[in-house]
Amino acid sequence: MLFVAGVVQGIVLGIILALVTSGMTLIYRVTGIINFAHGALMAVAMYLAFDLQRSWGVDPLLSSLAIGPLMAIVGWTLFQVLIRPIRRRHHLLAIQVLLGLALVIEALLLMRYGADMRTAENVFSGRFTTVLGVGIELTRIVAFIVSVLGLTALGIALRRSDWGRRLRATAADEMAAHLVGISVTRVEAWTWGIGVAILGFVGPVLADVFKMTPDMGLRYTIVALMIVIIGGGRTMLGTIVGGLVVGLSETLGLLYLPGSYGGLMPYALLVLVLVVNPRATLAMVRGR
Amino acid sequence: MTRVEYGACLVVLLGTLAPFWLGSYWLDIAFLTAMYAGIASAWNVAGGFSGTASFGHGLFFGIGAYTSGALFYHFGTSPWLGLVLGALLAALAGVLIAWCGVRYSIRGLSFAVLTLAFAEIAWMFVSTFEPLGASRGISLPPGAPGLASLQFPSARTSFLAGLAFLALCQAVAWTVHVTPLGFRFRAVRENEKAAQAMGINPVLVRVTAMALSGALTAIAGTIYAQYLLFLDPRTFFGPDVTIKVILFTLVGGIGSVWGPVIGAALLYPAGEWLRAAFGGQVPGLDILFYGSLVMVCCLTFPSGIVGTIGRLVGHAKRSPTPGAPAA
Repeated sequence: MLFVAGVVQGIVLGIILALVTSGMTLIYRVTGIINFAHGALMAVAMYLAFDLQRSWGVDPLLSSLAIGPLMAIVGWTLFQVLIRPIRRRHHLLAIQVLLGLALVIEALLLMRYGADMRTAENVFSGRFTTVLGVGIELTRIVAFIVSVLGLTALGIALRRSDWGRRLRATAADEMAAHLVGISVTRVEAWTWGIGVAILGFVGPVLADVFKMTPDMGLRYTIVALMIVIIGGGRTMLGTIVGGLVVGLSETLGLLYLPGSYGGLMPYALLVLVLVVNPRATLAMVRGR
Repeated sequence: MTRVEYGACLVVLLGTLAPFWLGSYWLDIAFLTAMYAGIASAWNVAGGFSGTASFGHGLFFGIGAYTSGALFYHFGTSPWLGLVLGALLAALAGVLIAWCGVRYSIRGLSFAVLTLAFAEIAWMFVSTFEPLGASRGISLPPGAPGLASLQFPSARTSFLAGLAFLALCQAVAWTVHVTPLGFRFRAVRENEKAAQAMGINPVLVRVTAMALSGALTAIAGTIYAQYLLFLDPRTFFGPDVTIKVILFTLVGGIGSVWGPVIGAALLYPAGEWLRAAFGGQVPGLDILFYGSLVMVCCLTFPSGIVGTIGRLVGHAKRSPTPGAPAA
C-alpha cells in the first residue's frame, strides 16, 4: 500500500516536473544554452499569480492564461537583450549572465514580497481526492492534468506544426536549417519565448503545490537540470522519462530511507546516469 | 611580471593596509574579503587555468570545515591537524571527481553539474547525519585564543590570518601559472585532444587542478569554521559560496592570477556596504548589485577587469582567457 502511494505521488510529481523542465530542454536543444534562470523565471510566474490573487482576487488557474503570454514576451526579450549578443561565445558566459539574472530576480522578489513562504490558493485548494486508494491533494491532480495536457500539446506542436518542424530542423543542424531558408535567429527567439511561456502557464497552477520563497529559483533550476541530463537533453520523451525518474526516486527514497536521506536519491541517480551513459552528458558547445 | 601585475600588487597592498585604519567593522569585512579572494583564486586554479569549471566547491569548503570542526568538537584535536586532514580529504575528493569526469568523459557543463551533484549530496548527507550535528549544526567550544587553536582574539588578527591564507593561495596560483604545469593546464583547457597529442596527460592535469583547488578551499573552510565557531550545513556545503566566488572570478578576470582577487576585493566590500546601508529598508540590495553587475560585466567586458585593462594598456595577452571571444 505504501509502495502504491509512493508510486502514485512519484508519477504525479514526475509529470509536473517534466512539464516544468520541457522549456529548459527546448532552449537547450535549439540554442545550446542551459537556462540557469529557469527556476527563477518560474518563481516570477508564481509570484505574479500570488500578486494578482492578493490584489484583485483572480484565481491562479485563470491568471495563468494571462501570465503565460506575458512570460512569452519576457523570454523573447531575454533572448534579444541578453543571449543574442553572446550566444556564439564561451558557454560559461551565457551561464554567468543567466545566473546573474537569477540573482537579480531573487533580489527583486525579496524586495517586493519579503522572505516569507507564500502560496496562492486556487479553487481546488484544501481538498483531497483518492487515486487507486491513495489520498492526494486535488491541486496536485489539477497540476498533473495540466502537465499531461501541456506535454501532449507541446509534443503535437513539435511533430505537426511548421513551427515545430523549423525548431527541430534548427536543433538537428543549424547550418542546414539556415541553408533551406529558416531564420535561425527567429527560431531561437521563439524557442526562448515558448520555453519561458511554459513556465508562465504552469507556474500559477503550481503556486499551491510548491511553496514560494524568493530563493526557490536555484533549487528548481537544479532539479530541471538533473531531469534534462537524466533524460538525455534531446527529446520530449527523454524529459518525461527524466521527470518520472526524479519524481519516483525522490518520493520512494523519502518513503523507504531513514531521515531525509531519500532526498539524495535523484542526485545519486544523476551521478549514476552520467557515469553509465556518457552520451547523456551535455555537449560543451554545440557543433556549429 | 607585467605593468598590469605591478599595478595589481599596488592595489592589493593599499587594500591590505587600509582596513587597519578603518576599525573592527571593516576589518571583519576585510577578513571575509581575503577569504573570498583566496577561495576565488583557488577556484580559478581549476576553473580558470585548466578549464575544469566546478559548481561544487561548497563540497571542499564543507569538508575542510567539518573535518577540523568535528575532530575538535568530539576529540579536542588541534584544528591544525584538522586543517591538514581536511585539505588532504578535499584533495582526495577533488582527485576522485576529476578522475570520474575524465574517465567517463564528462566534460564542460556536465562536469560542472556533476560537481554540483556531489556538493548537494554532501550537503543533504551532513544535514541528516547525527554525529555531524545534522541540520542543527555544531557549536564549537571556544578555546584559548591564539595561533594554536586557530581562534583569533581580535578582528585585526583574524584579518592577518585571512591575509596569510590569501597569500598561500596566490603563491600556489602564481607558481602554477609560471611553471610548466601552468602551460599544461592551459593546453588542456584550450584543446584537450591537441594537448593529448603533444604528450600531455589530461587526466593528470585535471586531477592535479582539482586536488590543488580543493585542498586550498578546504583550508579556507577550516579557518572560517574557527572564526564562526559554528558549523552549519548550508553555510559550508550550500551553493552560495561557490556562486559568489565564480562571480568574483568572472568580473575580475578568469584565468589570470590576480583577476579573482581584484574581483573579490572590489565586489565583496561593496556588497557588504550596500547590505549595511540599505539592508534594513531594502533587503536583497546586495544580491541585486551582484546579479546586475555580473550581467553587465559579461555583456560589456567578458574578459573581466584584468583582461580589459590588459588590452587597454596594449599588453599582448600571453594566455587567452576562456571567457574571451574566440578569434
